[in-house]
Amino acid sequence: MRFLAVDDEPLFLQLLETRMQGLGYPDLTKVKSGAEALTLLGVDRGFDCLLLDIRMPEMDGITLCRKIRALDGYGATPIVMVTSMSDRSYIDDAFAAGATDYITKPLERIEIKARLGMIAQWDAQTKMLKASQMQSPLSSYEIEPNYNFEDPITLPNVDRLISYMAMENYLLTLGLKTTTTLRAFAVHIENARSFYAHPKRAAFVDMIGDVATVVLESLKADNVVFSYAGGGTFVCIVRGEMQEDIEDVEVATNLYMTGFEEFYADENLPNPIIHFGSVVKISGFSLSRPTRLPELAIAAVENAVFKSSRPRGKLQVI
Amino acid sequence: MDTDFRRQAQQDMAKQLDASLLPIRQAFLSTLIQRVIRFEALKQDLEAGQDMATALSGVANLAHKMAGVAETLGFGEIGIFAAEVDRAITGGRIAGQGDTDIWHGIEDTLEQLLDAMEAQLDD
Repeated sequence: MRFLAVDDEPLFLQLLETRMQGLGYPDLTKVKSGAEALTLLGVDRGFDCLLLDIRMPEMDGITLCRKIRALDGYGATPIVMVTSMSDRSYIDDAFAAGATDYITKPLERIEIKARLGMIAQWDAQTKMLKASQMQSPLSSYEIEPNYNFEDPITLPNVDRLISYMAMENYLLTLGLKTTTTLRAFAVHIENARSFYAHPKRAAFVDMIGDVATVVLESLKADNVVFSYAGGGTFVCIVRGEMQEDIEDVEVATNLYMTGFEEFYADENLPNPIIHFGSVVKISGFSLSRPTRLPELAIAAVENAVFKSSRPRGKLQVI
Repeated sequence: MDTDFRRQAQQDMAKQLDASLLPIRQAFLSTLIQRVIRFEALKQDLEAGQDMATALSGVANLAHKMAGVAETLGFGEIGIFAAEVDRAITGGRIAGQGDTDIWHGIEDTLEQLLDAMEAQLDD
């Protein structure tokens, strides 16, 4: 795997290089500023993972992360923030800017081993998929069409939609205590399978992108982290209070979607039928894990769709 | 924590350090004198009340850079004080504290940081 690290402290770059060599990741390119990184990434699209410091002079790591996400070829590449900044606001901003993971300094060998191991596994799976990919037209969201219905595919071109891996890492970085202050709900597309089964494979990804854009537009909120969990289901993590009533958002979303009817009809496809699940949270007394929150939200929407009994409008504390 | 106890713990940690980190530890030690000189110059500006905002940013940035590497290289005490100075300045600014208040809030910790750095130079 090819890594690029950006940090204005040369000793930290040396330290990182030594640690990574010891863990079996010898291919590390080091640069000292965001400007240098952008110049390099503009001509070299072959890096598999980017490691960014947050606090740097001139261009901070969060701005750099956002700029990298806009570069050709780096929409879905894992970006790991490696930083001393452990305040909640930095974590929120980093993931909102497109970060995949967040490691705090000082650098513990065991932690970097675990986090890079996860990225390496993801990278190997992605490369395997690319290698076995069938020739098929790409959708306008530029994702390879070789995936299963249940896969939490990443759509790099949808603004504010983060990968499911990044959402899980966000919750793990915040920890269980902070996660108990968050709320979550899931959004399920009832007829998603008919899009997946369509001969034009890109139809499914295009529809997922359309729904994501419309839901985010309907939410009218900045305090959310939104991700596609696979199987036609999205998860939305809400920081703080829900600004809109969930039923109103569901109505608005389905109404917006009627504007797409013509496009879907051209492909002999139905309009997506979208359901919102109850808003859930983890109890403050829970001995759960942070990643239980999206699982609970998914269970709530499945319950709402499949059992047709949706006790919505009130918060479920589990 | 007792300073002697801290120093002992730090020396023990240095002994256990991965041999591959020793050249970086040496490089860190060789930069200590320049860092002390920069801290002292910024401290003089703060004591004189000269361009305190710039001086505080300088102190925070220097401390931030050290905090990210010192502990991993076996300088736990330096890492802890540096992180504390950085956090107090950035946190104070976010909370809307004035430069003079921030400076008085970090004065003692900065002194402890400089003592810890100078102790390594003496060793």
